Amino acid sequence: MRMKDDDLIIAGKKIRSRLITGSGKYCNDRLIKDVLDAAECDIITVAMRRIDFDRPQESILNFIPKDKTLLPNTSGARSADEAVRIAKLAQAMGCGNWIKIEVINDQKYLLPDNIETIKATEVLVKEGFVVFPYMCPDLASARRLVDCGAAAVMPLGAPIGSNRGLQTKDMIEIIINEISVPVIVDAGIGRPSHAAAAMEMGADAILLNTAIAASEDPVKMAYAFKCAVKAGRAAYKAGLAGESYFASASSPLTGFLS
Amino acid sequence: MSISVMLNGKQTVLEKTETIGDLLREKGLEHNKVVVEVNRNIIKQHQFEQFTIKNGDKVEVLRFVGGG
Repeated sequence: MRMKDDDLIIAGKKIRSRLITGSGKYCNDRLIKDVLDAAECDIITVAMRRIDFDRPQESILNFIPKDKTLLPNTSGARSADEAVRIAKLAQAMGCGNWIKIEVINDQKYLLPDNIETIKATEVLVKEGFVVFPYMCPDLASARRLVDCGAAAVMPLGAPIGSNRGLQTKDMIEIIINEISVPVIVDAGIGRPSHAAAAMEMGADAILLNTAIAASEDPVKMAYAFKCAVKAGRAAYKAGLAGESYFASASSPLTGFLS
Repeated sequence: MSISVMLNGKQTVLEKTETIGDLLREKGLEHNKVVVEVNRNIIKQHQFEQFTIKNGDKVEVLRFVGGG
């Protein structure tokens, strides 16, 4: 079932799927099309790298259907300046002006540098980019990103590729409650249940890569994540019932056995 | 006359002066699937055939790869 009028709108563009996937880590890039079909994704992320002339490989673009929206990232950037440089190179590919800002100095946890991310966002928004900043979940930073014109904010659930789920749940919930632009939980989502939990909480979308690409059967896992994201969204829209410490009988406790 | 350039971070000798279009053809790369930067300036695709690489240029040829 598809809920009416529940499309995600980002920068005026209607996005039917609230699941965004990455294109990295596939053992065979030919799987990507089937994964996108199973996940019903509209948006896919890509990275930009130097061509290795000694080991030429087929372009990733050959494996991504033309109707998908590309969201290039600035992975590899260690500063705002480097992120801006990569963003401009990505734009020069002629695949649109959407950019995921990823500025990372920390190689152990791959945690993003919010300060450099804010600087890059400010520059790129002014240059007409639609900016999706990947960030550590911090409300003050999220507010600054919105002030700079970010199209969405993308707080991490756990370190990239860790599959540890919503370790930052409370901080993400605060951002969801306080921030006006779409909140996309990016990184750390390892299981469909993690994705469903984030969506139940009110996240607008999920971005994940490793959990699908590194699973035993990426196409089946893509389907599982699609279902989880839809279930979580439907639950959020339905309004979850309240929790209590004590029991509350579901069956009438009429006293004929007393 | 051969020229020496820094191509994707490696010192590389090109046998003759050539355009970006020549270089991409030599490497078997499609124009619309790469982006080229020379001395930190992005060269637009429609300029590939006219833009001549000079001795000492720093040339970067990049493309999209899988990423999250």
